[in-house]
Amino acid sequence: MSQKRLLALVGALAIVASACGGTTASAPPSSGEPGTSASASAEPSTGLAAEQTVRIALPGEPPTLDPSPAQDANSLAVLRALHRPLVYINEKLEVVDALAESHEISSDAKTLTFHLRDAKYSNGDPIVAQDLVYSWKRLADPRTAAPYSYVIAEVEGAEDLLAMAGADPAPSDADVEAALDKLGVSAPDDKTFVVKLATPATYFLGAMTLWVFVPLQEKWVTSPDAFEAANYVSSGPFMLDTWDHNSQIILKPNPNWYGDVKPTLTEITMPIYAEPAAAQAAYEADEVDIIMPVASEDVPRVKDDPVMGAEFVSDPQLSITYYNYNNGNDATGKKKLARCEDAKACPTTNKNFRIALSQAIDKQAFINATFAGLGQVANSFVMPGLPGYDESLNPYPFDLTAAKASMDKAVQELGYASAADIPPLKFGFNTGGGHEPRVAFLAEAWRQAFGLQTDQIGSEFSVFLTQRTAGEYDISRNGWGADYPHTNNQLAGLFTCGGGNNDQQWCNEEFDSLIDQAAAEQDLTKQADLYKQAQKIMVEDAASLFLLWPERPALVKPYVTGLTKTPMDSTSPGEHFYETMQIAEH
Amino acid sequence: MLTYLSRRIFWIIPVLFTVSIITFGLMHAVPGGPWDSEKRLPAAVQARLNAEYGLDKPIHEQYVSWLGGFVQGDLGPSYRFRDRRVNDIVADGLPTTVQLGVMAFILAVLVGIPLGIFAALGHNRWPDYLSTSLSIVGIATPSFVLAILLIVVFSVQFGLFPTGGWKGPQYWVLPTIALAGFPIAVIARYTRASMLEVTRKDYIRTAHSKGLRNQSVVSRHMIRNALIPVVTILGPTLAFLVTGSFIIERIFSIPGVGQFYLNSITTRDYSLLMAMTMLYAFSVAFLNVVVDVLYAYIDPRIRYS
Amino acid sequence: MATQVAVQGRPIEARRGGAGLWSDAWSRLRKNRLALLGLVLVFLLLFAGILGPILAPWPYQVQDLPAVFANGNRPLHPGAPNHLLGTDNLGRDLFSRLLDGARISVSVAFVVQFVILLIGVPIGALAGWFGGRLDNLLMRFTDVIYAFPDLLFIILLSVAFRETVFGQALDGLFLVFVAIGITSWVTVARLVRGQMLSLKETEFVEAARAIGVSDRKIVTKHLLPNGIGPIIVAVTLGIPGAILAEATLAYIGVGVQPPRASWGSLIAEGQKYIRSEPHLVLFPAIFIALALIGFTFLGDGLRDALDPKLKGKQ
Repeated sequence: MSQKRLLALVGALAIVASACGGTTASAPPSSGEPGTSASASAEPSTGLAAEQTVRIALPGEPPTLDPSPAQDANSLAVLRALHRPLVYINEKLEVVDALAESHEISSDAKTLTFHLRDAKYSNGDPIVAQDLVYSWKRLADPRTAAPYSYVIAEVEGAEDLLAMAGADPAPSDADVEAALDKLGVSAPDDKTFVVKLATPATYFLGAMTLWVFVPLQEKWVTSPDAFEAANYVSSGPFMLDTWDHNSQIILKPNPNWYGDVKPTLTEITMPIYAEPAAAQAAYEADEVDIIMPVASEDVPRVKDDPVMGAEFVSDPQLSITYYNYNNGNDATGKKKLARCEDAKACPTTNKNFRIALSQAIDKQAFINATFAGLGQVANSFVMPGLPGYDESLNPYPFDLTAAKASMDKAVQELGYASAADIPPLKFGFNTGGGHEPRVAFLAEAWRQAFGLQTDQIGSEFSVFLTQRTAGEYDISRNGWGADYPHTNNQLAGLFTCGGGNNDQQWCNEEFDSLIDQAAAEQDLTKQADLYKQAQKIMVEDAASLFLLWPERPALVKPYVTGLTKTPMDSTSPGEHFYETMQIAEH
Repeated sequence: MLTYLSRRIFWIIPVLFTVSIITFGLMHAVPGGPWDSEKRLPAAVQARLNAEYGLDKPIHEQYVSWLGGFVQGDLGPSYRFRDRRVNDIVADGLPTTVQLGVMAFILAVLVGIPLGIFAALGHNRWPDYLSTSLSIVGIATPSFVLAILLIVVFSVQFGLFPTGGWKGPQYWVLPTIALAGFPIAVIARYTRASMLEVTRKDYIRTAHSKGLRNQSVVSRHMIRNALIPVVTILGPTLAFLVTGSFIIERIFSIPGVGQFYLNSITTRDYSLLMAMTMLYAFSVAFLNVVVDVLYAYIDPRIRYS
Repeated sequence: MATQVAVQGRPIEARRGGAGLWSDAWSRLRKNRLALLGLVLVFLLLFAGILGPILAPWPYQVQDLPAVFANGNRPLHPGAPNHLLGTDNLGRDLFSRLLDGARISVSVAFVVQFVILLIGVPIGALAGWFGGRLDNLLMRFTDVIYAFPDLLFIILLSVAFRETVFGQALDGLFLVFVAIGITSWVTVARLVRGQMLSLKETEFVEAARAIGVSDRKIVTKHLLPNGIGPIIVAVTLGIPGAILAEATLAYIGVGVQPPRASWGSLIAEGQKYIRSEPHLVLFPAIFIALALIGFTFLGDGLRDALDPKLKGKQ
């Protein structure tokens, strides 16, 4: 018997030992695509490689490559290379002309006029302003049911169209067409596109960098199987050459690309790896050149590795990891949630309670323990680099003494004898997202500081979302990534009363009015100031627990150069500008 | 025999029907829907999408319309991949999944049965201990651990095989081994057990006492009779392989339908979920019939009225 | 009381009803070395499950973060001071969590099999005893359950009822076990039915009927006790399957609520660190393997011990 057990044990150990002994990518023969060798050259490469092909791991199959209804990060990673709008960001996140060679804004900031440059689609047809009218109308059209349709709300006539989407009974086609005609977009001629806004929205130009505003040919979009590779028409630097569903996407340069920078790459292959460990293994086996993100469990090992350590990059992101406190308001923001009518049942509705919870968290330790040390401590919401970012705003730093004092006050106000008497708080998160350690860290910190009990409730994603929206949790995990680099996108809708993404059930009228004022304020300095004021109110009310502005670690083979990185990259560094990517000699 | 067969096949239909009703009901009873996302869709857009996909209708109406499409071979539109129809998704991935399952099955049989026989013949000596140890390791190691280990050792470390994809024969090796690990172990154990049982049976002793040489006793009587219970587990094994492959497909990035078995639940892709369920249920029910028929074929003592 | 008769030098005890069967089985089991090993392992598991919290050096949820930070933010390897088998990335002692996981595995063993017996035995008994149309109906019912995708059912059931009191019981696992049980009773039902079919034609049943003993009494007092052997074996051998099912479910994310950890969830979490801290996978896997070995050998031994054809053999 002992013999048998020994054998089994030895067998298992042998397998593991071979995995342990040496995890360096010590020049194994490359399997898979030809043309990329395993070893990185010792001296800096001087010229470009003969084969300009790159392989970038894609974390999942894009649900769609139709720009109007697209929202998934995997869709966007590809769409950015296939289409470009009138204005686009540059690496400094400034809004610059792209398809438009120039634009004017009227003095009342309500009319935007764009002059298109001479440009063609991949199929050779010229890009005309009417195509923009068509795609903008399509975005606003209730029948398209585009998740990002709300970004067009500021355009004249858009509000009516957006309201039609949920109308019951559904409006007739005639009604919709009539409303579409009233949308404030027009094309006086082939090269001029005019947008009329209902209110002066200073951030609208920033919003126009989104993928939903790209020009689309009606005849293409309405044809059958339009978005399969064989029929796909693009206006960006690359074309969709192949789409093997659930397997890979291959992009090739668009010969009609109008941009100043033409792609050096002749091919971008994007194999789909649903499992992060698989992408990591593929990178180490030299089957893929770029993976992003690197799982935080792998980060320490990768950084210590002699080869991979040098290939590891980690850059700040325009995103934030924050955990919601339930502030007790219902979906409209005006009334209290039914279950929080009695404040005792919802301790997080008490401001001192929230402050105590925030003061008890050592955020740097949190980052070190659960984010592999990557990221910057966040004490407010707006990310560094955006107007309204307030470095000095930190009313509740980590301080266990102050935390205990705040908790004592809160406990008294709520009518409990001590924090340990409070029934376990409902701490919600979604399983499968790697959040367990983070939730556990926070729960344990609160338990140690106050004796506070929490029920860590891990649910399936959809269930979690439903519960969080309904205000069923006392504390819940959350995260936000900027859609476009403007502060309005980070605050409105997230903290405004009844906002669509307001997951902390928080409502403050003064905050709302400041946000509205800021949106209309054309002086950028004054605008930034208004945002700061609004944020100050929200942060001082401890509306939520802000934890960190995470970095997004990636591994990039040393021969991949010419990356134009932005803090909005999510599947590859430089993903907003694949046209500048190059492969060095190696 | 033929009447039995046709009766069994006929019964598949009500079974599938019942499964479809239970699944449909349970699917819609679960909170959440296909449009759930971290950045919430505007309520108006959700309402519009629900109307477009008929999710605002009462549930029995939805079921009837699904059923109507199903019997005509139309599995409906995918809720998650909005430009694709479920028929296309399944058509793309099913051959791959079946191929993987069949290969793993063949490997499991080719390795498992000899391993079990080897163990039984060397009962209570080193062949038995070795084989049983391997069986235990094979059963106790979850397939996802086995898969990762295979990738780490054979792909990353030794570069012998690719880490993922399905572009040629070299891509087939590791996933097949990973998927077959558990069935090999189970088949080996069952083969060993039934071989041992058979050795104790009277007719073997009779054969021995008649003076038949050991080898012919083994080959003619033991193996044939020992295979009967093994055929019983081959049925569920095959069903497991066909759809239990979702973990393997995910880890090895194989574009089959197995991955949708789980994904469709998480993303609430109702029509894809129903398609996967029907596929699984049909495979299991059909394979059950096949196994029973094989049983009758192998064991002359069994006759079906 | 027992009449000792020597036949060919070996004493034979006259049988007395069920008592003889069991003591005979027990003596055979005792001689089976592998089965004894299995019994020992199962006892160890029960022991760990019941006394785990007392034996554990750390409470399972306490995070020894200072130790992790001192180790460069990496989980501690086995042999670290205070942590016999190392820690996870939050500094939670692996050995203590494994002991806690034992409690869950013990729960699996009992809850799942209880559900299986609760559903499978009556259905199998009814189908086998009455035969005919009821048998046909029940067997078609089992076909439906058999054809139903297990995983789907378990996930949907867990998700649908997560918020109820059942969903919270046993840290979310109660629901999982019930679901596993509901999808796994078919084998036991078929087994019981088979037993019923073969036993009901035997002579002593005819005799009992002739005397006028009621059907119910025949089933409960005569058939079930005699047919129970294979059922026990099936139950014992079914436990490893349930433990493994729980591990797979943990990988998908359905299962025990943190901060508790089952062996399965430890493997699922640990496999992310397999390249750098393989102990996080290795030890839970070893524990699962030992539990599997234990129940499998015990089950095999019970089957051999209770097999009437082996009476009188060594």
